[in-house]
Amino acid sequence: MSEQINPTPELDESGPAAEVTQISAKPPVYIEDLTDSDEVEDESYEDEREDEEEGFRAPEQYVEREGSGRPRRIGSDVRYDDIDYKNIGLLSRFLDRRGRILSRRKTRVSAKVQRKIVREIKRARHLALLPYTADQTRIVRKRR
Amino acid sequence: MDGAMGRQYELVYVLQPQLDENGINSFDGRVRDVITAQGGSDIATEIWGKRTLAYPINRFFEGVYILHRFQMPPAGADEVDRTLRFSEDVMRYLLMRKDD
Repeated sequence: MSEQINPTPELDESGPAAEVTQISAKPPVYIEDLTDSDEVEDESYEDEREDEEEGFRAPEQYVEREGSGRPRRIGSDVRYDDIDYKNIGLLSRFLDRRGRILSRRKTRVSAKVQRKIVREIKRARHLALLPYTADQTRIVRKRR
Repeated sequence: MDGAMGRQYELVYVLQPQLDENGINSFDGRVRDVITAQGGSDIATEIWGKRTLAYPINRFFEGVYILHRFQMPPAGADEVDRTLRFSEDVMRYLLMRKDD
């Protein structure tokens, strides 16, 4: 259960150095770190980031990344019985900064575990334990 | 399946934040009464207290969370559901069967 979840994909060979530093300065994915600073500008590069992930599917590249990237790690220590709508800390690791559920391609968990995660996240959302979208959270935070 | 003898249920509901301690306790008591009236037993209660909601509901930013675990014959679930649905103080609720 490491607190350090690195939300940035590897950008080694692609992208200018300036972009790398900008992205790696961003906070981890989980919900407590949704700050008011994620504004419209994030969205544009988040999309770029997804495009880059499309590109890194080759197996040998994948082996190289072992131990350093997010995709292999995020759900590796999750036990099936711990997945519960009450366990918000765990479930929020499976949301991105905008509150969307991470795809199985990113979480790398088994189909069974992913189904349960999705089910429990949806329950938690209904009870307002987790947000449906990140800007809902921003509204609440602004009020306080 | 334990059939008619009763199944394990888990119920969470979120009450409006402006309720005072008495209001919360009396509502909590009412829910337990309904459960008992439907043949429920072994009611365990966890009061999580006031929490910030992840998004506003009815212009409220906080809610009081209460959880019950109990045993009840399946026929009683409709009545419990109805009670919660028609209570204005309940902003959200989740009634689930816990099968192990």
